[in-house]
Amino acid sequence: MGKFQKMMVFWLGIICLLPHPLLAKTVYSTQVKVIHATEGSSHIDPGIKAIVQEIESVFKYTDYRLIKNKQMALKKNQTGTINLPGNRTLALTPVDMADNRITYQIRIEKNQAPVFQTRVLLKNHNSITIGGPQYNRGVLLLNVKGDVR
Amino acid sequence: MDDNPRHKENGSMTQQCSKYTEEFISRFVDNELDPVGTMEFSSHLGDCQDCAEVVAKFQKLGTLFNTHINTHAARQIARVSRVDMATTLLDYAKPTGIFGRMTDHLYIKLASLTAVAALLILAVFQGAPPVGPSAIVKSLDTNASSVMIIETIKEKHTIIWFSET
Repeated sequence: MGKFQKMMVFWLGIICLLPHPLLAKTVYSTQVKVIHATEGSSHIDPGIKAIVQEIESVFKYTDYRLIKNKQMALKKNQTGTINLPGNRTLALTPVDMADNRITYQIRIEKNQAPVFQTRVLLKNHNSITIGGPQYNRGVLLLNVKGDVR
Repeated sequence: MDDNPRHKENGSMTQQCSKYTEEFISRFVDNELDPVGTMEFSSHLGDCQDCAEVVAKFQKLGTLFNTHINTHAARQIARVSRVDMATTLLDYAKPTGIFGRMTDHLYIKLASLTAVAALLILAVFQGAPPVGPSAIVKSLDTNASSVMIIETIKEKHTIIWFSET
């Protein structure tokens, strides 16, 4: 083996040893903010001002309080769960990533019975809000954000 | 009788010979006649003083015209050259070097820089407008009495709203 060929083999070995991003497992950083929206006082928690500014034109509510904020690093097809008020559970499963959109399977259960199930293509680094569950003279808003680096 | 169409009576006050028209003579002077016509008229010129005078008059007019045109063109060129020279002199009179180049059209450059800076600030602080909704709902399964899918105007944020039974 010539000197040049030895050098080529050496550098190819070095390159193979380096961690390659394509070989790395995709991590779906999933953030869930559980917001309690009511009518009454005019208050918005500091951590959700940006979200509320975007969605408040749609709703009649004036009071928005962050009651839970959970960050999960999920792998593909791994389900992350969050306990919600009113004996409810939110389950999220990232199932695919294509065209800069993450496919999430989202399920809400109440008293261990499914009440809502959806499959959405969430734009990477963006969020979706699911609202409607009644709670304490108001409603719950579930803001789900997905990030894949 | 002469039946040649170019040999016609001419009412011109300056031409006595009626064999050739002034138009014909003019074409002769401009070398626009066919070879036969040129030869015929050339032989006629040796005998006709009137036609010779008309030819001389046309040749003089042609010379004057060409001279005038040339002079006018020369003046135009001179005028353009003077303008160019003045521009060049003014350019030389301007400050040179980096400072000179910076001060040249300073207001336009400042306005351009301000516009670019404004665009950059807008891009940084406002970001590019979103394309498409934040989420596309592929399927829904619920026992809720009603479901709404809403998209906000500004950020195209997707909201799913359902009413629990």
